[in-house]
Amino acid sequence: MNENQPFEKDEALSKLLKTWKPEAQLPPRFQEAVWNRISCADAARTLTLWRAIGVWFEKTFSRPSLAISYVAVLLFAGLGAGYWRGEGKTAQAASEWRTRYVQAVDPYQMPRN
Amino acid sequence: MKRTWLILLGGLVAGCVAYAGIYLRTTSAQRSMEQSTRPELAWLKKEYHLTDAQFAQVVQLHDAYHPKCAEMCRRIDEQNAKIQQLLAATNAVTPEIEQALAGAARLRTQCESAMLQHFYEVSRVMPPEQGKRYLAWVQQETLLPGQMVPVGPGKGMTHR
Repeated sequence: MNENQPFEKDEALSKLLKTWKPEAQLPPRFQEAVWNRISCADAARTLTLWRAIGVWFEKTFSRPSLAISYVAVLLFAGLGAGYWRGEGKTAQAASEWRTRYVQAVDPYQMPRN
Repeated sequence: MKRTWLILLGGLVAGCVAYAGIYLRTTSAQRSMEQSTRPELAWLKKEYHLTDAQFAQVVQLHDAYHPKCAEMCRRIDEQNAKIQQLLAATNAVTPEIEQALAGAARLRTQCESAMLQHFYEVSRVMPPEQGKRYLAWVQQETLLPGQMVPVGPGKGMTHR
């Protein structure tokens, strides 16, 4: 469009457009189709992210040293967590039994009904 | 991609197996004690490294002492109830209150003597070093001053 067109012409076009009423009907389930397309686009973007993560893992684990390190870290984390949790549980039980022993031999500490 | 999944899952499985293995191992003694009928005595056996014969003697002593302990417990409750009744009836130290307090003190002395007697008997069954350790611990928990605090009417005493 030529930018030097007179302003009156634009005004005339505007008026004409205002009088125009489209008679064509929207296709059936138009809105639903639009939303479907939007959700498909989101899914495609998510898939791309997953793909990117997958590629990163694939690339990382293609190096044996990193793969071994990953397994070793999880192995030692499991060992440490299991030991820590087990010791805690044992100490808690021992404390309970100490108290029960004292309650069993000391009438001043024996639990009353 | 299959290899990547294998490594990812393999690492997770290794971590879980390591956790479960070490947890079960560290708590195995505790679990076996829980299975016993009297875990507090099973704990005593483990804590003070008792042989089966020593443990059997400790259990025998414990069983012989228990009825005496229960009887003392009953007398303490009775004496406490009596004192509370007297205290509720007056706002002065009456001769009856003095007498009841003296009775409670005598009862405490009797209880503590009986406890100490039992502790000495148990410690003599243990290996000498363990016996000393047991005596130090159990006296600290029961006989040393400042251990007992009242918790409320009719509830007897409890450990601080």
